[in-house]
Amino acid sequence: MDLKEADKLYKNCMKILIENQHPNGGFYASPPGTRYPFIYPRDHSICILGTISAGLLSEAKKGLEFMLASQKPSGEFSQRYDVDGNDTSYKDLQIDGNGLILYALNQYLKATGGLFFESLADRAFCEQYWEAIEKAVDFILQNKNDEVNLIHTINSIHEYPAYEHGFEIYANSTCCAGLFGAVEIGSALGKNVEEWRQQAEQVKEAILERLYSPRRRSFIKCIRVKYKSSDPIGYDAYASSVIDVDAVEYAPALFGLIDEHDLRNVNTVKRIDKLLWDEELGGLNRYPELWDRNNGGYGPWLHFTCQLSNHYTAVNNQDMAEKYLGWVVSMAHNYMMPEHISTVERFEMWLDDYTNAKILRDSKLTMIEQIRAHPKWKEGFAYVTMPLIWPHAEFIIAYNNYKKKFFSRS
Amino acid sequence: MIRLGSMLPQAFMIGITDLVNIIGPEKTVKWLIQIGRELAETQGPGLEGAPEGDLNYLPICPFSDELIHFIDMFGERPKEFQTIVEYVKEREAANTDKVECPAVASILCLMHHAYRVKRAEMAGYGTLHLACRSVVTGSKPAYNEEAIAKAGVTKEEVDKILEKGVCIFKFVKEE
Repeated sequence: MDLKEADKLYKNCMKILIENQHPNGGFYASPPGTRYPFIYPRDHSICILGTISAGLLSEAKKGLEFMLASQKPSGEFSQRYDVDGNDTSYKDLQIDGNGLILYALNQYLKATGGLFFESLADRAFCEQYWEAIEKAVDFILQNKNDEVNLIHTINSIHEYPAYEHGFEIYANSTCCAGLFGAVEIGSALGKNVEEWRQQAEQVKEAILERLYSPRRRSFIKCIRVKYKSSDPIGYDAYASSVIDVDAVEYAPALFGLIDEHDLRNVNTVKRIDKLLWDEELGGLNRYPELWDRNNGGYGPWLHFTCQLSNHYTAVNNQDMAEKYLGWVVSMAHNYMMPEHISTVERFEMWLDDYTNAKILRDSKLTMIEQIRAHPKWKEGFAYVTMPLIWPHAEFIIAYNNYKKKFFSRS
Repeated sequence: MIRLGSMLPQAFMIGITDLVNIIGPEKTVKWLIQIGRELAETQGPGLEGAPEGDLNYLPICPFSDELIHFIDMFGERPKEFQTIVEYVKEREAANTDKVECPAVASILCLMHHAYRVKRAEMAGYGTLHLACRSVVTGSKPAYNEEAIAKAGVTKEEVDKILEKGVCIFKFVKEE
């Protein structure tokens, strides 16, 4: 990997994060005037984690304040918000947002304390929003199925109910990590959080047992179930498993629910790398091509590539970490990153499929124009949604992990 | 055939027709509006729809599938639905502040509009409902001409958006 280029990219990632935080605290998913000029709790939470990793704690706090103040009366965080914190969602429940915000809040608390947690941690901030924390936890637990101890969702990270409606691994990992985060926050504030701890342990055990396939030696994507309260779930109309590979099957380790060296995780990552590394373009795809739902054409995503590099860094596999991060560095354009990258050929195939099927929405036409107008188009690449802020935050996190592991003097 | 798992929305619409006969259209309309408001309270502040310039629109009607399914089962739109729509039109004709009225293409617009208005109100916005197109075959779009004028757009512009959407409204920040 070209470290000079990586450093330049890192610096620009920080700049982009700062520039794309609205004065009210929300991180745009993509800048105003582009495709996603809204605040999505998922993207926003990762941006907060990016600022924490970069030591930008006041930005992180501002981001958390924005989101905690925008919580719905039910305790849910909506799919997306405008810059004033008004719900502008157009999709159904995405419960991973609840987990991610609690997780990010706990990471913030720990970062403010650092080595002097007892004296320095920003407990006052967490105390100020304790009611919101309680409501966020309650909302997660309201969506827990007591037969299997897993959290039910309709959408998750890919906003794709066809494969995510039910007990999905990313939603469950983030919610479980969020519950543990709330337990840590509560403990720091002297609250009684024993019940939450037990619930979090139940969800964790269920993830490791029910969302892991011993015969495949891999975590699986989803147990599809239509209704949260189907009892028994075997009789639910959707009852089935999604066993296709998905980059987020790494989520249990990414969110600290399982050790990176645990063979269940190691083998899951092997399967992800084997089946989702893009042989033509490099980089990691998010799920199999046959799902045929990559606006702008099938291809690798920079933030999932960054995410998986964290595994290789953690297990001391520098070659693979370099392969992953080096690819991200090489694909950045003007030190900025798109949502994902495709080829001209795949782009045309996608366009053809969606046009024929009559599912090409008007809103996609602008995206198509931008892809074709991007300088990389002439080199044979389709850069889709440029820039997307999320991968910049993921790169900050991944590159800091990489440098700390392989270049730290201690 | 009614599948038990999807029976509730159909039961709700049968309930509406029964209610018109039991308590009359005026109270039924109030009841539908009240449901919309109560549901809005549970969701908190929010602004619906996809932005299109200064306007917002819904590409599809969230109730269309259930409505079509209901009509498929029971034939023509029940006369009670028509009774409600006619009542609303008469009421609006007598209303001096038509700008605030919903553009009603189906009875469910009443509940939906009340929900949308209440959530916008919690966010500090007023709502103008410009037009709505029913998904029921043969139905004409419903317009609120006063709201269109107040929104500062033309009917032609509204019609243009109606080609790709079913419901058009504008949120106005309250002073």
